[in-house]
Amino acid sequence: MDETERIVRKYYDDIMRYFICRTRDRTSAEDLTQETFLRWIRYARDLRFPTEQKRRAYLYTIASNVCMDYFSSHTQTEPLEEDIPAPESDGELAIVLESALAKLPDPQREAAVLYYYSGFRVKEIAQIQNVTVSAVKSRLKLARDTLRQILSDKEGLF
Amino acid sequence: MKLTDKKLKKLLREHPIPVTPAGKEEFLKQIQTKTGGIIMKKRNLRLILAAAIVLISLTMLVSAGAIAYYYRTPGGLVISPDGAASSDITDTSINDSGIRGEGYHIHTVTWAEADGQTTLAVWAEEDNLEGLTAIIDGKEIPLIKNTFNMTGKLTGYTTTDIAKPSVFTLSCTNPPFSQTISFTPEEIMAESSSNGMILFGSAQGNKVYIGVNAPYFLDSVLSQTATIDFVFTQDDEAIDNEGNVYSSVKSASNTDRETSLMVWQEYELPAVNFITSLASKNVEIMFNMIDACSNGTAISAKIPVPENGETLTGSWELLGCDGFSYVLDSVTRNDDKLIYTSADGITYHGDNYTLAADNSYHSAALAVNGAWSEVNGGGGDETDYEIRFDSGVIESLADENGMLDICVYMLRIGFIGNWHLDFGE
Repeated sequence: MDETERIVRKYYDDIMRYFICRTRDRTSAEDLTQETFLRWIRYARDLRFPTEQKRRAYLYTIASNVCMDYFSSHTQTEPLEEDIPAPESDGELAIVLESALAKLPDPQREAAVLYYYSGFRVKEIAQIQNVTVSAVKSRLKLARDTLRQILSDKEGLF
Repeated sequence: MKLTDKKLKKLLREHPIPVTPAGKEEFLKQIQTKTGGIIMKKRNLRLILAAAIVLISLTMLVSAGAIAYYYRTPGGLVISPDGAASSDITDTSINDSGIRGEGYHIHTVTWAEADGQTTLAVWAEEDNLEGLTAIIDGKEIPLIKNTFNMTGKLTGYTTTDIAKPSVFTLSCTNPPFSQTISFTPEEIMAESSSNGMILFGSAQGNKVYIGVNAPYFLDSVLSQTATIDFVFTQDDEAIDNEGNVYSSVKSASNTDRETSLMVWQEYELPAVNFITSLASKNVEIMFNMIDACSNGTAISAKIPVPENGETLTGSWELLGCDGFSYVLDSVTRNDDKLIYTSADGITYHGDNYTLAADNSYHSAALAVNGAWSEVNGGGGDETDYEIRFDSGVIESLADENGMLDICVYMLRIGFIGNWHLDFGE
């Protein structure tokens, strides 16, 4: 397996989830995921990174830039103001969480996805989002408060 | 049961959004085709085809040792033959600041040195320029079209058969044009005396770029409405690009977010004049940023309303949308005015980082109950904030506990950085 294939296999799903959360559109998420890896191939494939974590962070930086390009040419639609139903089974929980994340403003949503789904540290998220550490902390705090509000009354969720 | 951060993290990580594996496998199959990856997708077919050409060309050029170090200021498209990682790599569009003429559009002219080799590159929108030549000290050097197209939008014409140029003529036979290009040998960088901001200048060709790398403001600047004004001063007098004294303020709102540098102002002027007038002189640059925190993301504090003439003390933290916090520590009532004070001024949220008072200033506007108006809202300097109210309405705006909901509505920060422009030789 060559290095490109290894990178794609390892990170494709995570990047896809990242775009699903940010765009709330699976079709666009697929296109943007592939665009991210194309840019990786074009510009970053031959770079050397001291650690795998730095490589991953760089990939997400590309993804974040791809998303910004997408938003600059597409109007973001606000999610409908509707209640999020309680999950009836464990399998539906992921969809409930996705719906809850969709209600966050984009900067908070991106920070939350990077932190909770992708496992990045606050400092890494600051680099990816091109903001300060404190700005990331603010975003995560606000995201957490909102998610807590949305999810806390869901019966049997936790 | 309270949803703690730990529980939330566990919840999200144990229940990731489902994705199907089919897209990944199809993508892998396509990029591993013999053609090097021509992928048919719904959008961006042109970029995808360009990527395929790039893949092939990159392989050829790397193996031939022909790739040199391409650097464009400000920010940068950087490729190094040894593959060193660089955060400057970007595929964004280049600022449209080049030479325009009928039948051609030169975006940027760059030179760079690496491994003892100098590369001159002309980046053009057109890929069919004929007879593009650099005339340096009377010697004509043809520029060769480079199939390695970094951006998917521009074509590079390059030569490595040169020494480091300073001034030369760029000419073309089809379409016919001739242009004098001048380079400055150094990119000027100056770090601000505090706050971690970097103010920088770069002169290239007939353009001078002035920019600021201000990570503390990036979030608010790029998500809110903001303007930056540059005022050049010398010996406490404002000067213009030519070195003449003036009092007007230049403003700009450009950002190039995808590079590590924020370019806020571009001055089109003969670089030689700028250099001549300001070489080896200290230049102060002051910029103001107005950030409207009016999208509701600022966090407010409930602050009691004192009796007339009374001062209440406390510690009330307001969080602005830009991550800055203001800890108000007293409120004094004077008839229909409330004066809030903040002994520490602005602190950076969570880090108790204080903007140095000697080379920066700020003012803010506070809003009442989420809304700012000229009357029921007020501005102030670093430590005092005054809100004026219509006569007799303060109590009607307060809640049942006698508290007003106060938040930051607008923030203005000025910063003075010292530059020393020295172009050396």
